[in-house]
Amino acid sequence: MSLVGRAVDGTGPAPRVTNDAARVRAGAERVAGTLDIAALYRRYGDMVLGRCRSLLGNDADAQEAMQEVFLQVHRQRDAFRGEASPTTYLYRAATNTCLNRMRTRRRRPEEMVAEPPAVLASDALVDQVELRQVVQRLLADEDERTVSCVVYHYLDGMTHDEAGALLGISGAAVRKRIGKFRERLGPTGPSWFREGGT
Amino acid sequence: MSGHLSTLVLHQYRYGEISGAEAVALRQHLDACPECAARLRAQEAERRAFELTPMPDALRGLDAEPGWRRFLRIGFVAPLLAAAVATLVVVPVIVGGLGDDPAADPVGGEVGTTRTKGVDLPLEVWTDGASGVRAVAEGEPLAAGQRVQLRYDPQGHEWSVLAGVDGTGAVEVFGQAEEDGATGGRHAPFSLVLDATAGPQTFVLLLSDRPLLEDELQRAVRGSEVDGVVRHAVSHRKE
Repeated sequence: MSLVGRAVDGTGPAPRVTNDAARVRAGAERVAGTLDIAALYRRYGDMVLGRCRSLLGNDADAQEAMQEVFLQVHRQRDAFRGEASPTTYLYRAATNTCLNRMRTRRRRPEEMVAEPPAVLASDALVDQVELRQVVQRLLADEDERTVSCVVYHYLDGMTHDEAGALLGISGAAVRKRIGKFRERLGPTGPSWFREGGT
Repeated sequence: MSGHLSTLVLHQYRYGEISGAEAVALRQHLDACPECAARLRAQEAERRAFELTPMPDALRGLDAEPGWRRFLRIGFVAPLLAAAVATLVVVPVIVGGLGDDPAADPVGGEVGTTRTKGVDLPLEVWTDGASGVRAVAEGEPLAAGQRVQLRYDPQGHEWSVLAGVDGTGAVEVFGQAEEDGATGGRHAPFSLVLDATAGPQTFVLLLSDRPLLEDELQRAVRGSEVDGVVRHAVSHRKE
């Protein structure tokens, strides 16, 4: 799997980043072959929490989702150990957890909170409120994988290949899913969405 | 949208998981891209805020699992025995620390009189036979279903890896442990029950002063020379 950054406004080649270096057991939780949830939390909790905030939009939900992610890792230790990079595993797990929560919230509108206070997480390349609105629409009509493709590509700035690597599908498949969704969305989407991406 | 580093790459960079030429390229990008640099600074600020918050109670109670326990899940461990072995062998080690008690019962029985202090070899296979707990002699065959335990000496190295190669050539890296420069023999805090895979069973000890990358582990276990890695192996015929 490779993670490929994009060129800066087309002025130069994109720095190519592979995740091989991520295999360096930077944290004691992996170096010693252990699975210490506390150590994982201390090292990666900020990323997971930030991810949850950017998708869910409020701190209370984000805190709950973050705990759910680490509890899930604890329950699925074998799957976690099979991952080359805890970062990518946790990032994907946080994304899935949040999308599931958003989907559940849609089904139970009585539990929806009022428009959440803006949490300006660091992670957005696009307007987060707008993105959440798009995701809510996606959740109503699109399959889970397409939603993830849109989130990874538009919210996180991943290339199709990067998103595909996280999802276990090809970059071309990501491009196809996004393209079809854009066709269905038509001219009503936000400007950043209509512009598409690489 | 285009021309920016993804959020995930920024996290990986911040966690020090990107190195070498890739890190240089990223730094150059960050120098040239105020937006990505700002996103990185925001991540760092979130990190600082995160460090000030207490760990949620729901996560505090989750037990840390000793790394060597992974050994119990490998292919040649009989699944039904794994849980029992974990109880018998791993739990005492949790209390006593990772393999720091050479007097501990290696396989759950009485310590036999044949046990030696320290190890003569960097890596030995021990078993619990009719005559008590003892080291398996060189050339002595192992049997499917036999329970064994590895005893090893880190020889002052910082890191140790125990691994196995079965008769089909399949490599299993059981775990990597930080030894902190310790010396002297110690039993790995787990035992194994050999499966019926035909062919010799080889056990490998890798010693190094740094944690090893996955591909390095695989190569070193198979016998390739890897910089800074000392390899010891014992092989036993399986009946």
